[in-house]
Amino acid sequence: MRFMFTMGRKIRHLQAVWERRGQATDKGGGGWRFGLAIGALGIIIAASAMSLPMYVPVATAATADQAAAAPQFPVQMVDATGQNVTLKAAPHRIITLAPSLTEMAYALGLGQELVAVSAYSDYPPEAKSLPVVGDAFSLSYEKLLAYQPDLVLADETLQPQAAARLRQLGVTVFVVAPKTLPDVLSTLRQLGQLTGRAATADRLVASLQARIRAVEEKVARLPATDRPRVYVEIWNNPLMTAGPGSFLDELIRLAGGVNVAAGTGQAWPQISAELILAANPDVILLTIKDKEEVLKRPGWSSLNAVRRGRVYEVVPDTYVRTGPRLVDALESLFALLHPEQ
Amino acid sequence: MPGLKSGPESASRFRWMLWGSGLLLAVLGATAAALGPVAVPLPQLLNILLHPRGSAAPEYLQTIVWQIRLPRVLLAMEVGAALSLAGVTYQGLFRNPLADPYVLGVSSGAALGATLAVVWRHWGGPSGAWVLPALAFAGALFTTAVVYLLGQQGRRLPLTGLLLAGVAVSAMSSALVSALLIFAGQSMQEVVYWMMGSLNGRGWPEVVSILPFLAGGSAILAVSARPLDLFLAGEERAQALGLPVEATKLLLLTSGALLAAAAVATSGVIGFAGLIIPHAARLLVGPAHRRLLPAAALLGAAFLLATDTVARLMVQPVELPIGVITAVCGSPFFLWLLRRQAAR
Repeated sequence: MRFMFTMGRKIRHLQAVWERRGQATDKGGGGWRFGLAIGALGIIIAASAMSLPMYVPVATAATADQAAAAPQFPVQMVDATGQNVTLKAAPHRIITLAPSLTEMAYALGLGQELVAVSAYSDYPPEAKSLPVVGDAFSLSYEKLLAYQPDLVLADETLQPQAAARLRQLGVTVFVVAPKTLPDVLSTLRQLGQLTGRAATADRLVASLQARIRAVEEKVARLPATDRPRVYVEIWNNPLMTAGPGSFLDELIRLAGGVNVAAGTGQAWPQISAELILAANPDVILLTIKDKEEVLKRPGWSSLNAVRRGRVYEVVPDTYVRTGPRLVDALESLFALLHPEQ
Repeated sequence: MPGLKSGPESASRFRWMLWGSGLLLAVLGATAAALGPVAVPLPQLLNILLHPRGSAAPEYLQTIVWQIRLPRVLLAMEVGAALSLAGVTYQGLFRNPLADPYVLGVSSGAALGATLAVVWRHWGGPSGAWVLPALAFAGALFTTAVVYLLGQQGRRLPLTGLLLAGVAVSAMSSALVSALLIFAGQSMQEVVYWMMGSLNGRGWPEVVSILPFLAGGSAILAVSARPLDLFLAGEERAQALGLPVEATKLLLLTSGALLAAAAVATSGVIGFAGLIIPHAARLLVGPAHRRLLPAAALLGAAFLLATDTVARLMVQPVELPIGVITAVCGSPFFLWLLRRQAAR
């Protein structure tokens, strides 16, 4: 049990990062669930009575006419779980089960089609007003059913049991699993075809590709010596960083940096302070707001990054959510790594 | 021990208690089926329940009632009964009030199996929904078997040795779980969630798959009330009274392990229920197993159903892990029981 509780805090932050929750992490909030649990002891009835009026069925919104896309349907596609997914008509009651998918859906112009989203879907701001059906780990199946979705978009953080269960309940689920920046672009295309927004997706992907190429060209023009070593801190106790297989690692490389954790072979490895001191990073990126604590760590004042004042707190959302904003992250990362450019 | 007597007074009290538990269970079941984050108006609920082959209610409400709520209500009852029966068995066998369904390493073994399933999938193994429960079940039985082998001395199976082997093997597999989790990447949280126990997302397949173990275990225990009573007097006394001690022990330990393993594989590690419900039942109907076993099964079913309903409803739209609620409700209740007993 003790193991579980010490894990709890870390898990919450990591879940924030992995599940693209971003700043919604409650670092000190290890006990909120227990507090709530105690507070509500014995008031099952009250709690349930309160929950009753929560759901008001949403009238099927008259969907914007998708006449141009109509000829594409029915669409059949294989998703990341190997499942053959068929849509007979353009979906107009979509539920997204990850903040990244919410961002993608909006970017594809599907905002009007969304009937509910996952927790922590906070971008674009309109998404915050949509009802929430849980997150990939704790999903309210009945709430989800009540919105009568014709398409549920999930990413691989959704456990296979949950995807299987949803399909068993007769819900159409499409699972995506982008692992790299090019994957994100092809996922956008795929979702565009699936939802009758292929043209929008093509335009979006073309502009994202152009922006990525622009950064790549700038990196190519840099002198070969201008490759700052970067350490990203995902969590401070124990030290945890982003290694190969994570988007952060890929972004650092694309932005003309060298990830000091490149040799760890894991996407989210724990790393010892000694290794960081030995690697002597030129830039330190912090995904949690603890710059003061980092600067006070014994021995860290000798690091290049600390001496030159290149320790930055970044908003993790854009760096880890597998959506179109990864390209924003790439551009701002390039600016951080090569301020003289 | 007054409870071992079966005078007319305690007999009527026992009958009252059985009826009471049965009634409580029925009311709880109906209430739980009627409650949820989505409102199902009572007339529609009745309509749906009376017309299982398609009622006038909207289809999604029918799915919610038949595919989500009813299986979950039944599963909560099954898991509660299984954990509580396993608890009674182990507490009786070991004559140890702190014994619970997991005392022989079932939970840590199941956790090890679940972790292996997740790590395996992370590294390209099968990703079917059945893998995790299957490996959890296998892990639970495997550790229990290891505990038997380690606890064995010659052809005898001393209970103290078994208990200690259980502790050691549990510690070992917990350590392995922690080590494996490092390789689980982002799937780590799946294991941690699983270890907190939950009935969310379970359906008819789970209800059906736990049934043979629950039925088999209950059947064995139903004819083992007297042997369990004799164990309360100690192994030697039981032997002297003509009980085939070693064979009985093996049979009872195995049924307890099967009950606990089936529960863990379907719902994760739900703590405390299997520890406190047997004690509560003992306070209500006394220590004689003829009464204790059915009372504990009913009470366990009711307790888990109630706590699962709280888990479903308390924090919207996410769910609390039921293990958290059983522990939060269970600990104070347990302390109260202990103090009450001490005061006598």
